[in-house]
Amino acid sequence: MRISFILLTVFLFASCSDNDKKDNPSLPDLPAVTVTTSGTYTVNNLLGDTVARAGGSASFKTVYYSLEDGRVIPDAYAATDKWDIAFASIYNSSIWANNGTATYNPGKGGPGKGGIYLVVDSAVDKQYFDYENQRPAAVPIAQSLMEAAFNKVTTVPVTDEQLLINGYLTLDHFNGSTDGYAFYDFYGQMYPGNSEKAHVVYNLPRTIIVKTAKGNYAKLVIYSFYKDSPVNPDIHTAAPYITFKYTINKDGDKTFN
Amino acid sequence: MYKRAQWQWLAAILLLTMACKKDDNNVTKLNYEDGVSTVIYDLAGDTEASVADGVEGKEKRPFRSFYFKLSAKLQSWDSSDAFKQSSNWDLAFTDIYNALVYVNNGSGEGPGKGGAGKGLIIAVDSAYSKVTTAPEEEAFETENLRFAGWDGYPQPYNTGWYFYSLNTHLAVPIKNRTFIIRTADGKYGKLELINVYQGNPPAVTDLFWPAPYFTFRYFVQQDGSHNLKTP
Repeated sequence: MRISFILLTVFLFASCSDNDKKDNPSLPDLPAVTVTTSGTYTVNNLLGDTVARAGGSASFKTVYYSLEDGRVIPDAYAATDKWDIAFASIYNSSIWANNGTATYNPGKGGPGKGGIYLVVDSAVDKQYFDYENQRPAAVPIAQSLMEAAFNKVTTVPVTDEQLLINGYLTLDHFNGSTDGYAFYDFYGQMYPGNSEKAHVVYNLPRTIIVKTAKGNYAKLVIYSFYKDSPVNPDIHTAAPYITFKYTINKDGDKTFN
Repeated sequence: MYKRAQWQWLAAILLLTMACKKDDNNVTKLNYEDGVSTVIYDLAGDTEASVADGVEGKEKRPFRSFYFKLSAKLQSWDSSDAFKQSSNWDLAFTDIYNALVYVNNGSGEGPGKGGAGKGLIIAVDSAYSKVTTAPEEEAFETENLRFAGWDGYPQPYNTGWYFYSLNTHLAVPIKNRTFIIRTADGKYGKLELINVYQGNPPAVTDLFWPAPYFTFRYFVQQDGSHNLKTP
């Protein structure tokens, strides 16, 4: 009796943690869970597709990440609720939430209930952004502003209906996009005359709200797309290595303390 | 050892268009004239801007937008708020190689923001002459794209007028794609954006072909109806 109870517990645990794999044994193993409770976590140098080239024929491999579990999820799990954010397309710069009902979404057809939203806090923005020219007034942007933008978001500021599901967050005001989480210095305007400084991406102090695949809420700030988050990246700095911090509530709570 | 990873995807975009030499090629002129539509050939955009350093006669900097009034066939470079918020333009050619084409709409994001423009734009996968009617108001508003540029950018549903190849770095106009538009004044029309390369060559393989020079044609129904029939 006692033994069977233990067995049952083990079985339940296994089925909870990796039931997609259990239903479909052909799915690859998942890395170990690193996050089990609500809290704030930092992810350093999440490896994007460093092989693909914009000038080459290959498209960039999407990187799927579970905020709930703190681990990279293999792409075979795209149509499951195992992942919460995906970094896709050119330099992994398109950031999706996992939503199975959306027309356009990497999780299309799956059970994902997620969504994503960019918080633009005008009080923070005006401390670094030059709206007339749609670019930062100067770079590097102070780290303290990144923290301020993150800390000021104490609750999910929008309804679920306002979350983006048919699309992704991307670069700020670039070739038709609107508010974005990073400035892409296509022409090297921040360092006139220095061609090594063209095509550099600067992350902005703007907080990203993510509704996870399972319906919980997280907030996130991305510090850098470059290896080891250098203060002054240039065109040769290795990318994409994504460094970000997030707070996750695993209980459906929409407030962040 | 790091591989060189560069955010140059779009740099590329425009290598092709860095245009610094004169070409003497004979270009086959396709016939776009149908008797009622207006055809604009080789309207020069900001040909002094470049995406790269060291291109003769060009400067690496953001492209200046220009504005076009369909009825008057008038190009303007006035980017003052007063002008942008007026109905003196219907199309704005903006951003990289002026190839991001907005309609003049006062209510959404875009150059006409805050003005009175009633512009709308939707895409139809059909030959220009086969597009014969504009949709009803409500459907038009719902499907409004605001602009047409690089197909599938910035979002997958952003139907554009050209495809940019990351392999060849050439912008290839999408055939049989027609845009139904509403002008700043609220009249219905159709628009075909034909090319960004000088002389409208049928197929560009030369990265340095002169650009941006726009070839496009349009028809605006002046009686206010949705009828867009052309011969």
